[in-house]
Amino acid sequence: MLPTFVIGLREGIEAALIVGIIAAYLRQRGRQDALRWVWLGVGLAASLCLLIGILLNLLERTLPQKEQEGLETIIAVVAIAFITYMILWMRRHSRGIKHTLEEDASSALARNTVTAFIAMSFFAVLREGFETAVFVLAVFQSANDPAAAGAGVILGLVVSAILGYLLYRGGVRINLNRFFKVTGVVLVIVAAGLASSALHTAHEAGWFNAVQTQALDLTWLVKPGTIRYALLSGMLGLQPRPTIGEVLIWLIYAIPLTLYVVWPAPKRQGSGSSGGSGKHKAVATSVSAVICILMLAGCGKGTEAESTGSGSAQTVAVSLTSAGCQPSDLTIHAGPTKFNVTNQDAAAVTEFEVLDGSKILGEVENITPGLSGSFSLNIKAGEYTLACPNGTSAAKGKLTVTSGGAAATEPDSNPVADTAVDTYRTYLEEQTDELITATTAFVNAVKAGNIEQAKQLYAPARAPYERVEPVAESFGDLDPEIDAREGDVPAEEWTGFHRIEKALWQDNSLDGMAPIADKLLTDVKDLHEKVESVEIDPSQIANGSVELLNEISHSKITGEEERYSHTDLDDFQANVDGSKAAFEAVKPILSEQDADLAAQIATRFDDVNTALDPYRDGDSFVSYSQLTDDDTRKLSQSIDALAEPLSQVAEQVVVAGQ
Amino acid sequence: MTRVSRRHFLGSLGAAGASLALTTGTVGFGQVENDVQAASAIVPFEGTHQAGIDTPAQERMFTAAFDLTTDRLDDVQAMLKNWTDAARRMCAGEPAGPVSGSPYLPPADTGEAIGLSPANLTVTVGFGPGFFERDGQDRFGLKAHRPEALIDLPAFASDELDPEHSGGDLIVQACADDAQVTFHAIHNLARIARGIAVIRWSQLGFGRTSSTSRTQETPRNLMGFKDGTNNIKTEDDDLMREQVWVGSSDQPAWMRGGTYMVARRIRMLIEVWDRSSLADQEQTFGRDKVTGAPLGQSGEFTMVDLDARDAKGNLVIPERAHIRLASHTTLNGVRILRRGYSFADGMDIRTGQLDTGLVFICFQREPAKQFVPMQRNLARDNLNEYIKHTGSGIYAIPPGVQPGGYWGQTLFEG
Repeated sequence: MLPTFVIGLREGIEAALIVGIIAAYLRQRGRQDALRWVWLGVGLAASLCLLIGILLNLLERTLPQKEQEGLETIIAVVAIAFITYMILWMRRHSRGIKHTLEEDASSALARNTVTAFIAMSFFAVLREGFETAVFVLAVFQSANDPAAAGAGVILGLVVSAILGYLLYRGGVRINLNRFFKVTGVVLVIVAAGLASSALHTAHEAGWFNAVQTQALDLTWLVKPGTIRYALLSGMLGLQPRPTIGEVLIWLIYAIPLTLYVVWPAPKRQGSGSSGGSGKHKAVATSVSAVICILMLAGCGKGTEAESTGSGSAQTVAVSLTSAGCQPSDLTIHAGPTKFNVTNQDAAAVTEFEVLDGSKILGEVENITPGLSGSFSLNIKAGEYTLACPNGTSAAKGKLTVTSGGAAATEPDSNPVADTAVDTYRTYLEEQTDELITATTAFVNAVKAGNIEQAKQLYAPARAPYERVEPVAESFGDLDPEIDAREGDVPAEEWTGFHRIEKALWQDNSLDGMAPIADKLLTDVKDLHEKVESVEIDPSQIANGSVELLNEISHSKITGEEERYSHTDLDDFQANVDGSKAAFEAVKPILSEQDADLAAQIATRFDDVNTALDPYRDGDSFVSYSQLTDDDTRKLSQSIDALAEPLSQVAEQVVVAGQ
Repeated sequence: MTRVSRRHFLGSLGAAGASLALTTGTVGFGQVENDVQAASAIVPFEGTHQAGIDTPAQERMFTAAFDLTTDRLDDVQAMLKNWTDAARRMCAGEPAGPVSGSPYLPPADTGEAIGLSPANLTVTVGFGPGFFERDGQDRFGLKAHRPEALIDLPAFASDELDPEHSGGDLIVQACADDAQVTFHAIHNLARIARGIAVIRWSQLGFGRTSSTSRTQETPRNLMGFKDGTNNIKTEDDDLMREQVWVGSSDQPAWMRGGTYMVARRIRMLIEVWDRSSLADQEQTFGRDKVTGAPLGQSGEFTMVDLDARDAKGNLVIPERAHIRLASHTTLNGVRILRRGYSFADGMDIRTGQLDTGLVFICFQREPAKQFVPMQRNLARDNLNEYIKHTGSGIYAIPPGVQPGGYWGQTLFEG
């Protein structure tokens, strides 16, 4: 609320000053009668700006999510440009305004037409009005409480109108210099916040993908849902988890401009005085200082992440004995390591594993007496466990890996893996974007009580969710809140898609569904937020592709997912699509390791999609209830045929990453 | 010609004879041993408690639920008396009814157990809620005697219950080490029941999926994991008294010495399980697949350390691992006696997948405080991705039969 109040106040005062100057001049010339045309001009300008603001807002609403973010970015950038210009320009030319205005007024008087007066005041105020509209719109967009923001601007305008009137009457004296300085600082900070969020929306729009690493975790300070959050994020544009780029841009904008605003102006007007160039020098220095400091910080971080290349590989010999692992206490250095495992005569012990906690990093199995086997790991410094199951006394052992020798490369400095993760993350974000758009449409139909339309919009809203469901499941409660079926949770806790599904198809009434619909939209937006910062690695992506097929086998193929609407085949297709997208993300890695497997899986995906063809109905599918047991059995078995080879991918992908 | 001395000859004759005697003696002794073993493959039918609960779990099971078609209590009582007589005989290795050999009568015993060892047969009978009231009607005048503990089970998260595999006015559980013997027992009881009760559902179980005695090795379920490591063992008298048997001051009086059975038909989506990675499988259960040891520990029977964390601070046994959620330490000390079996019943023709899984049978003193909270806790179980509950039933298991007594005597005459 405060930002919009300050904007309204400041712009309002500026406009009031302008009108005041014009009015004073006209009074001087004895032409008060022209004042009403001046007011009309102001009114027209104000209305036009309001109209532009409303149109921009409406335009935005019609756009799909991604394009919305794009428009928001543009508006924010324009607003920032305006305010920057205003701050810099205003300082230097504030004196000249009065002169210019009086000139304009006198030429209007000379022409002495109504139009001339209207035009003069219209254009005088227009810039202010346009700035206000754009700036308010920009702040509105990133505001948590649009109602408060709206109230703020109205309040600001009202107060400025009052103050302006009092100023004009001479009843009140304001130190305009200080007023503009203080409001200037506030606006700079707000603009910096806008710049930060513009970067964020640019990323959402897909325009800007660099420097997305999370720089700070400010969740301790900026906790969503608290008043502090409203203040800090509303005022300063602080996000709970700003990226490096967002922090950088905030600092680069805010620091120099704040300095510029608060720096005392030179006593004598005119550039060329030492004070002026000194100030410019100071601003330039501070800007460069800020940039340098940040670069250094960034560089330092970069060095750590860089790999120092591979060093000497080492080979470790391990024997399997009836006791277990021999030796059972190993110390090696970090880096590429080959474990050679042999079994002389231990009948019961045939397996060797290296574990990090409970996660198996590498293993060999079926090393029966007389056989040997090996595996390689690029191992980092730390403590690990050795496991030789069924050993009598050394079934578990200890592996200590010291740093020194070669530094192991960080797994995520593997460019192929990085690409896979980036590809899949982009897919996740696209799907959650689409989910928000489609769910919004669905929710609007539900709240409007439009049963037929809601039914049409139900399956399209579910599809993006079903494409990425395993990722949603990794966030704890979000999946049951969005996707639980009746009986999966206690009745009083049942929310989400299926609750509305039941209302639509079984109860035939949307009574009481408005809050459920609202919550669904909130949850879906929450998912979008969480997906942005979730950590994923290629083996998880590969596993996710199988999990999506398991979803089909568990509930879609039996019609248990969509008990009332019977739109299970739409979900089925979405699960398959999601599985395929995950597979495609890691396919480049797999193709290097096992091109045949990749080809086989691709063929099986085609088989599944072909198996679905008979049931297609336009963009959608026939009702699940129309399928016979034969039909569902064939579909189910085609999924099993695909999932088996697909379950081999995770391991290939892990091996490739080492 | 070599002169064999007399001493030599007698000596070798003696040696030969001795070894012959020894051999036959061993063989003969072995035979006796076999007979002794065969004779001792009998579990006493009578006692304070019914057999088949704290009996060390046999290898096979055949259980059937019956619905009463009569509305006369006398009929029911007569049937239960006949059942008791038949079961008493079958558990002793005898035919279900006296064999007359008359060609004009259908045989009193169906015959498939002739020549088979009793194989530790136990037959256990219980009463479902439907026995006491149906649709609110007090069918036999016994509604007032329905134990409070015999609740109607609530719905649970992984339920996909098929009425065809659920419920039943009466339950009969026959366990033995020989499948044919279990079938024979149910077969003959069903025959005796004709006209009074019909079979509602039946389930054959192969392979026990829990141990009820420390003398038994923990068996594996069809997912390949050792199942029932932390089960109550019958040697734990205190636990049996506290958690399983209805106590001497519990109500109703006719149930004292009995217990409550909950039976759940748990279908395993074995095709989905098969394509899950080893890590996923172990994290689902919380145990090592081969050894059965809790993750991060060694030894199957090591006490599970639910608080262990790895180097990154994550719980070693995941938050939603099965053994965590089912552990009595997570459930305020609540435990149940498990006595389940694996089943495989053809195909689910809708999906072309095997209809297979676990018949989960458990006994406890108060289902509302034991099974129900445990199953509710499992709503978040990782295992739920791979299973569905397709059948369910709860039954009051009355106390053991006394010499000359019959099943349900304490209810009818108590």
